Amino acid sequence: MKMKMSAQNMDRKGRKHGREIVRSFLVLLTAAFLLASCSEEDDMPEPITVLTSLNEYTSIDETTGVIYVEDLPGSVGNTFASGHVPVFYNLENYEIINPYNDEDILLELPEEQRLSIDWDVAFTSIYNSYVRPNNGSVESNPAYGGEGKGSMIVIDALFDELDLAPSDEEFDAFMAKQSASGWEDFPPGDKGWYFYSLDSHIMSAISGVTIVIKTPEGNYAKMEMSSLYLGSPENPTVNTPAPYFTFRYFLQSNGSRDLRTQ
Amino acid sequence: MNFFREHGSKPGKLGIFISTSLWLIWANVFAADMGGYSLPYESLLEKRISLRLNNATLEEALQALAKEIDCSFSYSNTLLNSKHLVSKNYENTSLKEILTDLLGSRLRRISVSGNTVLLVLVGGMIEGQVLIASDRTPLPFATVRLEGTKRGMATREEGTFELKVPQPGDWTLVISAIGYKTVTKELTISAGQTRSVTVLLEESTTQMEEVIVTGERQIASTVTRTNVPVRDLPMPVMLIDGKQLEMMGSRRLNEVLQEQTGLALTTDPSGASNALGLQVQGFDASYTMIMIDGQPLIGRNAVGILDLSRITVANIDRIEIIKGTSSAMYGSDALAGVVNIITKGHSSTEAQGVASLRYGTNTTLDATVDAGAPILNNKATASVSANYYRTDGFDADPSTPGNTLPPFHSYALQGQVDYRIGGTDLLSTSVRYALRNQRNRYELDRLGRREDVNTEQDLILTSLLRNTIGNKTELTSQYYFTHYRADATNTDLVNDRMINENNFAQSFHRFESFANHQLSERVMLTGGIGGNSEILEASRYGDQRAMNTGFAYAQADYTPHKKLGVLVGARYDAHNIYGWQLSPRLGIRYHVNDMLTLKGSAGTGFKAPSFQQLYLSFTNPTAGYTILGAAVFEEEASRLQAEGEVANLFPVAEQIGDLKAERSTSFNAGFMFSPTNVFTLEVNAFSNDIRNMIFEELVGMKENGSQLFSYRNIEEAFTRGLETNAQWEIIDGLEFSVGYQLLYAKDKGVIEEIEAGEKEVRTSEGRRSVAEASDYFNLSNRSRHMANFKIFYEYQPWQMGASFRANFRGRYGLGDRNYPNNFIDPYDLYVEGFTLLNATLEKHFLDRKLGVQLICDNLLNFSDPLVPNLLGRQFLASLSWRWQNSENKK
Repeated sequence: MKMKMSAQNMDRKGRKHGREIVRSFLVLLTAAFLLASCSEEDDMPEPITVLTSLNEYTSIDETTGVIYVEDLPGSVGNTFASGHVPVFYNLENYEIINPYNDEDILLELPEEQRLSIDWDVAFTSIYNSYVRPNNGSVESNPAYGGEGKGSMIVIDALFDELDLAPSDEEFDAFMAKQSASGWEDFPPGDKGWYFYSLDSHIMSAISGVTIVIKTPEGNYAKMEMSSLYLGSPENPTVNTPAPYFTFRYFLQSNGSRDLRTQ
Repeated sequence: MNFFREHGSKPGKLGIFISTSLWLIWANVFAADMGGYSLPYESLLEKRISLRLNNATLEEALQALAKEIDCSFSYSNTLLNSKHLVSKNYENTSLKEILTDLLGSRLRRISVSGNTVLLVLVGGMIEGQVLIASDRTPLPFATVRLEGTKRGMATREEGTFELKVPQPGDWTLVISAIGYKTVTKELTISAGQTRSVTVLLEESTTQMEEVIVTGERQIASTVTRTNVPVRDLPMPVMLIDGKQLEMMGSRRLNEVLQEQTGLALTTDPSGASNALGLQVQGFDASYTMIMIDGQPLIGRNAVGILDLSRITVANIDRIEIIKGTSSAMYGSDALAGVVNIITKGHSSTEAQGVASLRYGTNTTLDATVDAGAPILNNKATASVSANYYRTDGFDADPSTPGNTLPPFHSYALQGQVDYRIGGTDLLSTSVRYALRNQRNRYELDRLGRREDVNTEQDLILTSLLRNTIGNKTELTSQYYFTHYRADATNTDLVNDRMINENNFAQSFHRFESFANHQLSERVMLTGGIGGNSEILEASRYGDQRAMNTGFAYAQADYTPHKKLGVLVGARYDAHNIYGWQLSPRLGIRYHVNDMLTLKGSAGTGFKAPSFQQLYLSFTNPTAGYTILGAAVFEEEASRLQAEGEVANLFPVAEQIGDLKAERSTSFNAGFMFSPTNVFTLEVNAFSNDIRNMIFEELVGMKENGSQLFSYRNIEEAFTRGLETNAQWEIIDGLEFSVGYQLLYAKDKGVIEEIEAGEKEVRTSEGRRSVAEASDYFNLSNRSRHMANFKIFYEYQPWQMGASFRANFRGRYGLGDRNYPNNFIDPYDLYVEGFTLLNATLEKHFLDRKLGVQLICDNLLNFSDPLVPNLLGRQFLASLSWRWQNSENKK
């Protein structure tokens, strides 16, 4: 929130009196300082998650099958003015399918691949912040004209507690309203996974938002976005490198709607 | 502790002694039918004689006269206490004329009874000298007042004064001076008596001193622009005096202010700028006016912060801080309060100066030369001050590119000439120039090395003429001009290519005339009239922009009773864009007894829409969004639409247009309790309500998928709290103080939504619940609790001093982090409470000419990436040299 928002007798009695007042003040002050410096840190120990590394950016919790992606570079080295190359991600192979040049700069995905079902999730638009499914029938979708019949829905639910993918009707109803999810309420009414502070000019992920993806192959996945800033700092600044994706997801590869991970 | 050395009158061994009571009877008998010098026994008084007096005492002079005329004199023995020696040559002069000449203002009436001439003196006289307690040197410009009367004067260069006492009786003398503890002295004056007192004033080190701001120092009290003692003001005022500034060893204004009760430093939440602003009574930096010698500084950044680190404390005499709205005197921008930085004045009879050098951690160098001298036969005083400061900066957050406090160097130069016309009138001209150059280099991810350079320049010209008309009216006319310019560039060092450039230039002219008139013993009137003209030329504001304001204000300081004081005033501002504003205020002070004074004040304040809120037209080159000022919205939005850049405008866009000024209502109530001379407790409760707050609002969507913003009056908020300061002088030279502020600052709209069950909170992991009132902490950047604890110790025999200060800032929220519910809930990002410890140690040599000081700021080396303005531990050593040319000394 930018809330711009003395004629006295100098007798001994008086001095003694003053001393008493000050003494009580001292006691109060000491108490205040002590209270203020004692912090309530009796947190419960956090449950331990053991992760197995899959590649430089990816690891898996083998007990649940949840894949953790940290600081995966998107179309880095760009600003709004230069634009961000859409990033295409394959959930099954946990990799970006875009080509790279010799300097490790991410390049545009050739059209035929965009229209293919080689990818499940696209990170598009400003700072690669809008998540889209692979759907060839949506005009604004990078796969427009392609075969993909993927879909998405954004739900206020905890990632760990979302056990079942919604019905096709729910997916369709969501896709009829919006076909991408980025900034909350922008365009107005859209369900987003992050919000952008007009004070700090920083984007923050909204906690308790889960994106459910239906892949073009007909599988369901749940996904939780955490940060687009390198290192996911608690207080990024406008100069913190971005976009670097940090998110986790679970892909149910047997085609069922069962998304339990607990 | 004995502040007084008294020279009480003892019966003279020589001369004619007449008991006071007898003398009084005589006086009454003759007073019945005698007025002035019109006397029936003219022959004696009209007798003409010639007389030569050479270094004679009054007694000798009267003896000589008695012999010459063959009469006897009857007078109060106290007349003989005068040590004045007279050398006079009278040729054929009447006795009446001689007596009038010899006794001057002490003589009230001459009566003749037979051969006896009775000299009736005025009710009484108090004469004396004010000395600085530490070194017994005279203190000029101290104010000596006779309580309950309008009689008072400033001490002369030799520290001397004399005051007529209207009637015999018990009187209280109040002696005060800036930077010294006020002393009161009760004296019983018998008729015709002249009492002589020597008053020793002790220097003060803490902020709650009762101080009279004297006209002789050119600057009247910030609160009222009159010479009203701070203790008599009903508003909460804080004073940081020169002595304290010196003992703190601070270099820049932000360092001084952050140690004061209830003041907090704020930064731009985006980290895009490293400017340090000031929060007063929970108000953001943009709501407090920062002034130098009573005139506003300009050059605020995009979020309304005037960077305090721009300002050196090198040549500052004192800082006055008024909390609570002061728009009734200063108009816009003084909504939350006023910080007035008063630069050093110089003695008008001696050449004097000081040079100091500080060096320490982060290659910090602070060099100052400050000198003044009388010129033109002591009719004028000229002074110059120069400061150079540099620092390597500091990085509180190594995880982000660049320093959180970038390296900078700065120059500040000031010159002033004060010319006295006659005895009382003053013509003063000053010029001040400051330059600061900040340079931040950092590595931007995959974009290579970048450099941000920000050069800021300030120029201030002031011309002031003060006339005293009669002895009741003082008229001040002044012209003030200031120009601020900032040039910022962002360069790609790898390709040597300028990526972004931003230029900003702002000029401000003010002509103002104000007068103080003593209407009666009980009423002091102040009134002023003036106009401002502001011109802005900036790359983000389109054409040259101008704002004009005309204003008039009036104030009455009424003392209906010795114990009661009422201050009432109002100001009218007429602005060419946002219309007019009337800002009244009322303050009442009541002295319950010698120990307790109650104070209360109320007023309204306003803040005009800023240039930015009116005229900005800015498209962020990295994020693509556009912000348009409200006054240019229609025009600029249509232009963007015509260029096909706007996808759609939201319905709220239709409400963009005329911005109203933001308005506040402010209440302060409290007391000052001082059971002894060495202990004072001050408590003040405050409540401020603000409406029509201007916020950025999302009004449309651009074709490129980014946003279009403008400004609208949308929100209402309040800040409420309690401030307490206690100060105790334990033993001579050892002062101890504590301060505390409790603060509740919230958005009223948010509270309403929470009450209606319309707000949601989410835990960090994402669990949702309906927000409860207890979930709302405070507005961002507002601590619930802030406290400080200070010890200043000066041991005169060794000429040594030390200070130890602890400053606690309680936990505060930084901003929404996990859910955009627009308020700080328990799951948002907080800065945990922290305490900063600062200490200094100093010793003076060679009769205080040479000073050595060791400074350690942030002893615990506390640092937090979330608090970018915190420097780590800093050690500095300081050397200072004072000189005084006593050749001109009389």
